[in-house]
Amino acid sequence: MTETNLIRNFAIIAHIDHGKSTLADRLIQECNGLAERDMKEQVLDSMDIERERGITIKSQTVRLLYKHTDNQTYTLNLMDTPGHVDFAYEVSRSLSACEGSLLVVDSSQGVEAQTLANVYQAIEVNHEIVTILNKIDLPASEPERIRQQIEDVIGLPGEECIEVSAKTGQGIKEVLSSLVEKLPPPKGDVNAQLQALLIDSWYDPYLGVLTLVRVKQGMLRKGQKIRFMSTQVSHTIESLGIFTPKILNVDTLGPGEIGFITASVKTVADCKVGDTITDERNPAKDMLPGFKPSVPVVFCGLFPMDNAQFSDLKESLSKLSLNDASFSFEAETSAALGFGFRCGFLGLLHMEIIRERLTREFDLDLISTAPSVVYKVQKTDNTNVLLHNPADLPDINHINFIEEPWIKATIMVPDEYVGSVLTLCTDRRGEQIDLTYAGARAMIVYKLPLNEVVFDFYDKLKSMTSGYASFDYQIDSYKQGNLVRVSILVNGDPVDALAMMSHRDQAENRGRAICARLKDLIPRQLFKVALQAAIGGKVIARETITPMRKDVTAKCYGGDISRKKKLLEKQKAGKKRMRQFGKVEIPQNAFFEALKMGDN
Amino acid sequence: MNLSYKNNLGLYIHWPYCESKCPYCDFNSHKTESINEEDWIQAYVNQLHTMKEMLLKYNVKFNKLNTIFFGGGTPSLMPLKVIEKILNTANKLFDFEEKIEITLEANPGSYEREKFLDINQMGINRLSLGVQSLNDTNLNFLGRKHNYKDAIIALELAKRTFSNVSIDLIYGLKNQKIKEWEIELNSIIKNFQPNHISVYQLTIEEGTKFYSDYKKGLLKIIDEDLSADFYDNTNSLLENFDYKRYEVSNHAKNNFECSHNLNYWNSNNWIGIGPGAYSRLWSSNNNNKRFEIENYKSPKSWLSKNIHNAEFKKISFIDNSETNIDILIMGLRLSKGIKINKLLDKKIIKNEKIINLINEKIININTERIKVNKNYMIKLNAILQQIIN
Repeated sequence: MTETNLIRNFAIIAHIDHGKSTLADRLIQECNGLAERDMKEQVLDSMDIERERGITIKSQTVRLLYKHTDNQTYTLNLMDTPGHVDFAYEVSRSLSACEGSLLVVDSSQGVEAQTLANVYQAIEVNHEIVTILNKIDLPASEPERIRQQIEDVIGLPGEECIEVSAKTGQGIKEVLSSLVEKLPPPKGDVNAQLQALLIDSWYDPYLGVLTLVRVKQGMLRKGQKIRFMSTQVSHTIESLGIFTPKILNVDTLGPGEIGFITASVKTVADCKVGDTITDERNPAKDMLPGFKPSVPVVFCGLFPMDNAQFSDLKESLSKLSLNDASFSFEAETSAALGFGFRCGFLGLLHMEIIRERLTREFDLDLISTAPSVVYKVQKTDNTNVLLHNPADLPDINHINFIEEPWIKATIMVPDEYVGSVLTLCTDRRGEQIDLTYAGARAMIVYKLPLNEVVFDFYDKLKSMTSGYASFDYQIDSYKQGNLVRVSILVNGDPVDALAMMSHRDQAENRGRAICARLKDLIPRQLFKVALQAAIGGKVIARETITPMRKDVTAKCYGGDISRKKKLLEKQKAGKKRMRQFGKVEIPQNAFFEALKMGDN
Repeated sequence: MNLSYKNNLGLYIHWPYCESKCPYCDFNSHKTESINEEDWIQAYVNQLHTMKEMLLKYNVKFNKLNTIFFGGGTPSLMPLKVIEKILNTANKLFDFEEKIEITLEANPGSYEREKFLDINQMGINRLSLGVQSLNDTNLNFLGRKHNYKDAIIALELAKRTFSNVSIDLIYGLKNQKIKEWEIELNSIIKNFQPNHISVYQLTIEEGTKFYSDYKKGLLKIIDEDLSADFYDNTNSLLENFDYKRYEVSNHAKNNFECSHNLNYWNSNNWIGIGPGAYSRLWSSNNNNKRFEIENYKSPKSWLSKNIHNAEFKKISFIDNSETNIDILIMGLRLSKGIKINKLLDKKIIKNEKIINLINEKIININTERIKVNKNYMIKLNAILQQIIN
């Protein structure tokens, strides 16, 4: 156990690509003397997807031993925070486990929307903040301008920023010393009843469920019987440890320390992020503040391309949920797509990551439906229904009203793009909250219905600003809306997987746009195909796919049989990517692509 | 001809050489090189003898040889002696049907034209002339060695020499207008009255010069709608002149259908000799299984493998389920369709997809035959996919 006055706990806050992971690597190398060759590039991002996308999905922590100028050796616990808004709650718990933050700003790029959101969270939990201007070695680096921006936009003192190059090592020592001097040591009575914050948990194939904790007061010991206060489940601690980043077992964890426990916990679902762990025999009276169970906000249907893969999909989802308690899934049947699952996610990126992992790690061929948000439907009998799938909307005559979730979105963008971004937000039913300029950049704050953002808002924003816009959001509130379900009919039959919710004013445009897109996505068939969009029984848009006109091989003689058959088989293989709906064959990507709003 | 198709036997002879390789051609053809006549005769004759042994060994039921087809390449470039020797050997080994159809493919060039009379006297009774077009710009684009004048002279000569003349034509060429094509087709029919016409849309095949041009964006293919218009207009024009479309791309006056090719489409027996040629035969030994014999493809290796003893590249038996598909793929190309009793598994015509297609009036089944309805022949591939999936 380390004396609390020799401990400093800090979280790293940074925008994607601002060099957080390289900086962390450099700090580890400086303190723990990890040999160059032992350092896999970017030690902290362990999942393939994290590395490729340069984002952190799970919290990670490393203990650094730093010998300060006062000749004392300090324990610095570095906490890497998830770098995306979908994981805002996880970020807030990671921040709660620390007394200070290390804010990393790319000195050639400046402050981004995401940085802002996380910095504000850090300020909210009273963190001391050490700000660094990273990538100072780049010719495009503009430290003076960025210092000014940090003062103007965030309100932190610009002159205190440390100039760093994680690449060359410049400023690293200064960062470490500044962390020791500026950050307060953790407080906490080792003799008080145990309160440990559950920061994260994940499944390790060898060790089982690992739970990352920060001890606030009291002590964790090997063999100790502990209780998870929110679930009231008890376990015995099998082992305790820390990351250096290699695992190092310890016997105890005291106040201010960050480490992991294993305790024969079967699934991560039992380990709720933000929960408080206490001693079974001598429990704390209260939980640590701020706990809230995570709630999925975006849903989509996932169906195996080949129905025979249903059980594989089920098994893969169960395996993934071992490691990620924040996504949910339940079996669903679609007339168009067969058996699959309705899955709930923390946000869009979370959804993409899960989908990608299913495809990549579990080798599944999936059809994904367009994402939908959760609507609150009040029925005429005054009961409330949470609607996860537009196809399940009750009969319109039995509905009093429908509420939809709204978000507060923060967009940072060079000022030349402000006009088009405002137009985009207005088109998506947005209400402007704030518009401020800092230098040549603007910060735009809007309230937007989540269902307008859930699909292609971010893609559009990126493309219309040549990639310069950064975007962040938080869930705001539910508001009543004039919402209707737009059904899509193929040759007169509604396709459940293509149903969508829309504001009534936009329903016709959307219906037309979907029919037009489907017309492009569905290849011509032997028969004429009628596409219709309808609200209730009223058709609001229609398109016709004219039958194919010619598909025949001109020459086929004695020696051509094998070749001709191969050609047909190749086409047949292509057809496997099609879904038969009545007589019509619909390509799998259509179920997702059709609902992209495009340019209307 | 009232033969029972089942016991029909055709013979295909592949001559792999051409004066030059055409940019659209993906057939097994090669630019002429100097060859040793005697070696080639020996190799063809060896193959014919070995084929006869195979027919006996695998108990292939056949009556007599009912068709022979010299294809290529440019078989009109074959030395006369080679043709003669093949015909004599085949007659000796297999016996010719009384009304045997013997076709030879020819180009309209002057060197080939001079041989028309000789080959006719040797027994060739059907000439298939590779006219392709009567427009010099088009002929040039297609890389043909002959011009418009050559074609006309060859056509006139062929008509005078042979009682059965077929011509090959290609449409859908660069910048070609439907109207122009119709005028061209019209004038060929009026002036020369061929007995049989094969009309193909230009298709870009992998491994050809046109394919690499196409990949580079130097060559465009006509779009589906225009291609369909070309096809439909061609069919109705030919129908007006009493040419019946009896197969996807083949049109004939009454009783002038190509019997040799009907052997392919009706899944009868045929022997293929020469580089890259395939044989397909029904063995009564093996529960009526069909088997295929494949030849070495390159002319050099084929010759070296066959000059002493015939040696085939591969003999393989085909699963009955595959044979059923082959029968449909080939048979549904015919306007008359295919006899249901040809199919080894009759259940195949009772599946849901087929019933849908019948309900949609796309295909038609009676007690005897299954066929694709006239207006849907143009979508045959899509229909086959439905059936064989």
